[in-house]
Amino acid sequence: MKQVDRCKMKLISFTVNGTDVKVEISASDRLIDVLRDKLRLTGTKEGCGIGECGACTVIMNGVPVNSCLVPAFQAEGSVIETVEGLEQSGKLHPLQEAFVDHAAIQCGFCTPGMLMSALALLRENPHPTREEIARAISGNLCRCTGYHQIIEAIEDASMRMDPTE
Amino acid sequence: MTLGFIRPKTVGELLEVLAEYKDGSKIVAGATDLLVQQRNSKQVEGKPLYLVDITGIPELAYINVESGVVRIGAATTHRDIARSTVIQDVAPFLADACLTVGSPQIRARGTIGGNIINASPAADSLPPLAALSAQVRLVSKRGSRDIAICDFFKGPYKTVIEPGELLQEVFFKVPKNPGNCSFLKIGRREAVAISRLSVAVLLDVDESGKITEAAIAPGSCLPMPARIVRAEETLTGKVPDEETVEAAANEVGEEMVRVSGVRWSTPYKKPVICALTRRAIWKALGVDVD
Ligand SMILES: Cc1cc2nc3c(=O)[nH]c(=O)nc-3n(C[C@H](O)[C@H](O)[C@H](O)COP(=O)(O)OP(=O)(O)OC[C@H]3O[C@@H](n4cnc5c(N)ncnc54)[C@H](O)[C@@H]3O)c2cc1C
Ligand code: FES
Ligand code: FES
Repeated sequence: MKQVDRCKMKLISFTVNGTDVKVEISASDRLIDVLRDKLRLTGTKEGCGIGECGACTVIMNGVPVNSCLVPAFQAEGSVIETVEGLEQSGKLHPLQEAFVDHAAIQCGFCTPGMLMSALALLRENPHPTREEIARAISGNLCRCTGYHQIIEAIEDASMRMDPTE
Repeated sequence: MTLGFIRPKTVGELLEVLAEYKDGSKIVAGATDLLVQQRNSKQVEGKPLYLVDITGIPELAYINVESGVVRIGAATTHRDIARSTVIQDVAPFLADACLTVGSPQIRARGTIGGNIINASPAADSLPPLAALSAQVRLVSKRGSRDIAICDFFKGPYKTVIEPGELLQEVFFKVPKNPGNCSFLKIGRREAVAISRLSVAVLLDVDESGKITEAAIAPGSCLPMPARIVRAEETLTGKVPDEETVEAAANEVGEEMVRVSGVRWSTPYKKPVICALTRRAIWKALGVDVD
């Protein structure tokens, strides 16, 4: 049997916001370290570092995850989406617009993670109920808004993104 | 300290690696326990380790039913179990339990194998697995062995798995009446750990309404997963009425005190676990009570 590689450092490739990237990682790097420190995508925030707050949420292969709990080596070959990928040619994403319009952002620290959880929800369920929205963002803590405005913003964004219903 | 990482692509490759490094290696699945533990401990202590990632092994993530036996691969996530129509059909309380784990983000990465091996008294998949009389299959280069879930634990955060062994899957017989089951948990993850009490109930009820078999397994109130035989015996052979259900539920509280002694938290935990069990038994019987 061919020996499986033992790696101290490794050049891994994956896709971030539609672009192929190659970065050198070590065994102790987390996905958030690679995104923030190596790729300078500092939109993704680190709050607790232990999976409690959701500030570090990114979408990995279509599913929201805490990037502070993903070892970087597990990102090899994956498709990652971060908050930087939302804006398209200078235009904010409807979710971002709705967050601004509904004052769903105060200090803003939770916002990138909230947006990614909300985006993953709306792709799967274009017209969620308020309860479904609350459940989808239950892993994202906000210490400022009290969640009300955030839920309204996501509900409004669902209408803006798919006004057919 | 980490020496490096290894990402096998097949179970065969994985077992070679585990046989070579044994306790010089550490399996990583969803990393939701491992990275938190690494961060909380000082990292420097302990033997240098190779991290062996099993998330790149497709043959470890599956849910299937064959000849009346349900098999769940160790690397299957809580998300996939909670969403599985198979599990929703054959063991809905296991799907419910996995759906209460952490948050959507945690469920997307955290695996049932990691939940079992981490062996927390509060692990949510364990009460339903205990009620189902599930077994775990451990494999190594030398062979494989099956162990009943309740014999797999030595204490809180301790199991009988040996260095070089992999938890390959957990399996259980399809219950006779999958509809007569329930999982209830109180306390959200933000709440203090004391309030994470839970209980799983699985009953077999005949046409006359008599309970012919009962399985009751609480979470977070015993050092490791266990069935509460006295509670089960209280129900067995009876057509449930309020008094019987109450008596069975109280046995769970009594057992908690017998095993763990009276603690500062007992005045809170005991009535709560009794009330939760009472509700869970009624829920398994299809009756909503408060
Ligand atoms: C914020 C937060 C909230 C949480 N909430 C809950 C909750 O509500 N309920 C709950 O039950 N848990 C909860 N957890 C704990 C955790 O998410 C679960 O225990 C999860 O199932 C662990 O799985 P994992 O794949 O992430 O394990 P890992 O962290 O990858 O591994 C855990 C342990 O198991 C070993 N291991 C993993 N797979 C195997 C295998 N196949 N064979 C041998 N050894 C293996 C690893 O070596 C390690 O020792 C929470 C965690 C966090 C961070
Ligand atoms: S920083 Fe990852 S969950 Fe808080
Ligand atoms: S806006 Fe400050 S934490 Fe949410």
